[in-house]
Amino acid sequence: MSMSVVTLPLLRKSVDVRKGNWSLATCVALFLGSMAVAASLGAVTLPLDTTVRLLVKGIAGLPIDSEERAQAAIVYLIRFPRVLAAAMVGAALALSGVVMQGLFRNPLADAGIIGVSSGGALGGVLIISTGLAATSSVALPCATFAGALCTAFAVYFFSTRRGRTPLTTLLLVGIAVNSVLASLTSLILSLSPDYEISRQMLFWLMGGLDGRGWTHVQMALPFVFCGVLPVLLLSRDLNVLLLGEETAMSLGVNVELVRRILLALSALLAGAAVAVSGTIGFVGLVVPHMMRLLVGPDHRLLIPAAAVGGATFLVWCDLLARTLVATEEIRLGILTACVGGPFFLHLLLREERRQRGEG
Amino acid sequence: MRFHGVRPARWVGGGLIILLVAGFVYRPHRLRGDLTPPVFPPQRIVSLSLAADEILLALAPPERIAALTYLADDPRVSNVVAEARRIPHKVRANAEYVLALQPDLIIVSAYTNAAVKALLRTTGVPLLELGQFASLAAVEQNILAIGQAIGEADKAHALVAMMQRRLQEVRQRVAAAPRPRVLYYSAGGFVLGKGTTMDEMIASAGGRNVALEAGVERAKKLSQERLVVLNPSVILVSGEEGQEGLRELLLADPALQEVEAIRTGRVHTIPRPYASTVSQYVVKCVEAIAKILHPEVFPPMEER
Repeated sequence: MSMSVVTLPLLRKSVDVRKGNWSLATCVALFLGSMAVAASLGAVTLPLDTTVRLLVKGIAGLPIDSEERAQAAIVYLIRFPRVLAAAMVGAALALSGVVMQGLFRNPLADAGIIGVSSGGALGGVLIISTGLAATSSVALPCATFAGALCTAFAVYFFSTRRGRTPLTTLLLVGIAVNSVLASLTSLILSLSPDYEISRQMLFWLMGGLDGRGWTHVQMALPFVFCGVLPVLLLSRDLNVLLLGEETAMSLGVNVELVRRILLALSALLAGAAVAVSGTIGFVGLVVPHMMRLLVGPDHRLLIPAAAVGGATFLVWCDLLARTLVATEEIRLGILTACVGGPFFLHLLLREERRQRGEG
Repeated sequence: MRFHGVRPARWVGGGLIILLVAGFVYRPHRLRGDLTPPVFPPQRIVSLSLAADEILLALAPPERIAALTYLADDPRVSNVVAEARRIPHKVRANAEYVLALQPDLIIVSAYTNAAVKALLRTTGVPLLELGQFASLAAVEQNILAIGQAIGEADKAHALVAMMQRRLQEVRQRVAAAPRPRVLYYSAGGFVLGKGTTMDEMIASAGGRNVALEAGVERAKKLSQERLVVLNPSVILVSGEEGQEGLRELLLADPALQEVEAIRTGRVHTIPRPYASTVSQYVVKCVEAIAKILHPEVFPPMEER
């Protein structure tokens, strides 16, 4: 069998498509429910129906009674956009994870682990330090995208030989790239002459959705849109890529071109996420694997499922982050790392066992 | 390998696209409906800056203050611990918690998290943003601004006049004395130079800030080598009462034994709430520094 060992787990489980469809439908229902719950819980907890009523009034621009104004402001101006931002970031990170795992044919590929998020963060810090981020709302996501894109192609260049990316090479390249980018980021931070700007950069770098509102949602939407749409359209090609380079070519797929496009798209999604929330790890690792268990490895199902699943996952993480401890927020990245770190180890050990068993 | 029946996945994909397009088209707006007419003077004031806490407690009765910062009753940094304990709520810069208190005035500072300030602005609640506290004049301006915003302008003017009188008194008493070379040194080796209240406080208390000789603007980390070369004759550190850790560390540091202040034992601790304050309590800090620098002008028995 010429297919690389590491591609097998992505295709191994063949789940009944009908079951996959039902799982997907359940995920969508769960997602919508989670949004409503997340919008009603927080500093002031409101009944679900009041929350939905205030939200609809806010979104539709219907007049609001003066005694409900404070609640409406909390729900519509502060909490709901934050929940939306969480959903968007979660979906973008999970999709970028799915694409990278398919592209590198490597179950441990993730924007955080291979350094793409750090590249985005470096781009972001650069643009904030020049002050451009304050003047234009597209400057920050453009910069994070550019940073993520350069990093993604650098990682691809260093770790992939003839369409193959050995697991250890990818992880080691990730470590090297991450540390180089982190030190460059620290350099910019320490050279920044303006205290205010350094504070702003640090706050953004720490990662989280604290203080994110409608402006952030609107800033990242075009970028997420431009990432999600082509990824959905390319899901069939991702399936074919998993069958191996020769098979894909014989099926008429321009392998190199598709790979580059997918790489750019995953960087675009990761960059958009970083622009909103700073770096948040492990979402792109955990969610795709969970969704593979639920809907199977077919990317035509997996891609929408990962988007919905990632959104749900991060909405819940963010809800916990802002409600677990009263009056104090836990950083979102801490929570995702608590889930993702052990999961990463589990995957790593599983891969090692498999390679030993089959090698 | 063949796949069957993935149409529902396309619906979900389509749904995602529709959601994103809707997001594109949708423009969030301010809340519509009758605004409760703004209350003046405000009766539910929320402060998100420790300096504003200290100023507010001097100007407004406690029943008009809905919340102070979580630092206000922390004896390590606050000058108003006892008064602050009477205020029921302590908050951090978190838009939800602040709005939940239904404030009619929110006071923030230049240091407050910019994203939170932007969020609070969209809600239409009156917001007073204090400028940078980089000089004693700026502190006075901030006091006057708070007084204006809460309808206590007279009290604010009186407070500023009191500050100026006491500062003037200190300046006059130390005017004839020689001006020692002083360095304010905080943990991690950070010193304060041009454009800080500490610089002005040292000058008002009759000292020369040697950080200026090193070209320090605002806060900067100073290497030990630099500290030895600068050779200040007095070093000020801030600390909590009863804990003089940094002072002991400096005095015991073998690398610093040639520094005049270390050799002569002139390393002094000023209480941290004084050293970090940017409210009317700067006066107390100036007085404390003046007593350290010029014990001959301020006999030790004198207490105010």
